[in-house]
Amino acid sequence: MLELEGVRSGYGKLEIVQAASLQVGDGAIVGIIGPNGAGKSTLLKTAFGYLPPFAGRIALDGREIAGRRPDEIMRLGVGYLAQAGGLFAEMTVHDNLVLGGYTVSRADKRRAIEAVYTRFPLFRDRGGQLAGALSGGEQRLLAIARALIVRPRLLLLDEPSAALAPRFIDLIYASLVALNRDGLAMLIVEQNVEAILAVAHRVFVLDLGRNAFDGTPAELRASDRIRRLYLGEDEAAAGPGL
Amino acid sequence: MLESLLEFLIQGVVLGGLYALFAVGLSLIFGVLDVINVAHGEFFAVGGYLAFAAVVLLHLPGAAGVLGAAVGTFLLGLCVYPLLIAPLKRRLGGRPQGPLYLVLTLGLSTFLQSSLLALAGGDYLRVPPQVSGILDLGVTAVSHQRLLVLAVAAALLTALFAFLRFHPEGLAVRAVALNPDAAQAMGINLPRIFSLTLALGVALAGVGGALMAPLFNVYPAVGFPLTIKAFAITILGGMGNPVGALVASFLISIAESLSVMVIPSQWQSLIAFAVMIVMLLVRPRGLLGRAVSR
Repeated sequence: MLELEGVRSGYGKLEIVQAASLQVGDGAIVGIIGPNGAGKSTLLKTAFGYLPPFAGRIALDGREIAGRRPDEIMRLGVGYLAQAGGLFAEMTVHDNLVLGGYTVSRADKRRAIEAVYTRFPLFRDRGGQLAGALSGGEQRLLAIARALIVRPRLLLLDEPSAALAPRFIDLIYASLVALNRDGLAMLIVEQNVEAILAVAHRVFVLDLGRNAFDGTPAELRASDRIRRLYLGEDEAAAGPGL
Repeated sequence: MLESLLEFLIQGVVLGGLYALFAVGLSLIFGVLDVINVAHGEFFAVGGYLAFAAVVLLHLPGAAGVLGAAVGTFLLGLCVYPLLIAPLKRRLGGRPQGPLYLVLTLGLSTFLQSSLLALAGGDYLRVPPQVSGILDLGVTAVSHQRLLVLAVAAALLTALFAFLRFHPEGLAVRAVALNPDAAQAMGINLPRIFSLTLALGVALAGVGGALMAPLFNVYPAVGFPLTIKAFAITILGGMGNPVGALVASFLISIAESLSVMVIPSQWQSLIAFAVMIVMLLVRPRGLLGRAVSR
């Protein structure tokens, strides 16, 4: 579905991602983890068109999409959730959902918003409130619900659990797993390693803008070197149970 | 005393319609594109010339002149982003661009003024009023032309705010003003919204130019003083906040109008700039802050 091959990118002349490669298959959950400053979010932004790659190939269903604008990539069936959700905090909950359906017909939009309200009655009750007045967890849920209005095939998520209380992290990940069961593929950048390892089918570790590991969560847990270097565990503490 | 107060108040409200038509567009453009459009007054002038061409040269009715000014300046506005701003943006990448946009639109202002001078000469051109007659309100009399400016301003600005509040493209304009990255993730095409916003903003100025042509006459630099005054209005209302610009337009126009009761009339035009300076020193974010989103 999505393939990144030898991608280099960054801000201005500063190269942060240096020849990173990854693949997301149909219906897969793929995680990207790594230390701060490894280039995880930069890679995600590059995949979605916010940053033009300096070099490398980015393909969706075999079609090159490098250099396309985010709105063009979105229209190809890719959703993007920014780190803080990317809501329009000074607009109402309802208007945020309406904007989520900007590219679909009025009838489809109405149906999709109704489906969101049925699934999350809280948003129907608070449709007239400013999105910024919701709690952090509610905002993240609204951002996910908004991204689903156009029924994307692939969702790119930048740290969906950042700055959330544990019960909201569980709720968000339970929602993501349920959506994945319906066939939605995901590429998730995450600092919360346990949360992503629990749901991902494949994990990429990025370090200094390069691939440092590529495998299943089980393979990652089995690698002492990766655990030590990137999960912040020493060998003694890690134990055999990981 | 009370009669004079009422008279100046009414004159102030009528003048506020013109200020609002002009300043709301300027503020909308700044709020969405982060560009201070120094050439805004030249679109006002272009509107006046288009009205002159339609009514005096082509002998069309006055309404056709206003419509022609709206369409002409809208189309001209559509070209500004792709031909001028987008290429500069591409070259600059992520570097700060504000001062360069200012210089760019100053260049556009000079270019348009010089073009109008070359095409139509520097003479003051007269355009017959779209409506004639005077409304006697007892305490004062207001020409039908000035009332037309106020009525059209009220209608257009109501339509603009309804568009921003309810229409999907209007919501997109607000979304871009709030968070351009998130707006793109919704599938909103930024260059298209930037072009649309610029076109809408300058078309309001163009309509103002066509409606004021019978009152101001038309010459290449007719809009420039209005641009400077609109800067004061947008600073008072909150840079990039069209609602703030609307409120500030009437505050400034009424303050200017009432000021002649207490200060000599030659000081009247300084009111807006005194307010601007005080505002910048005391509350630089303006009365309502920056929010196209609301």
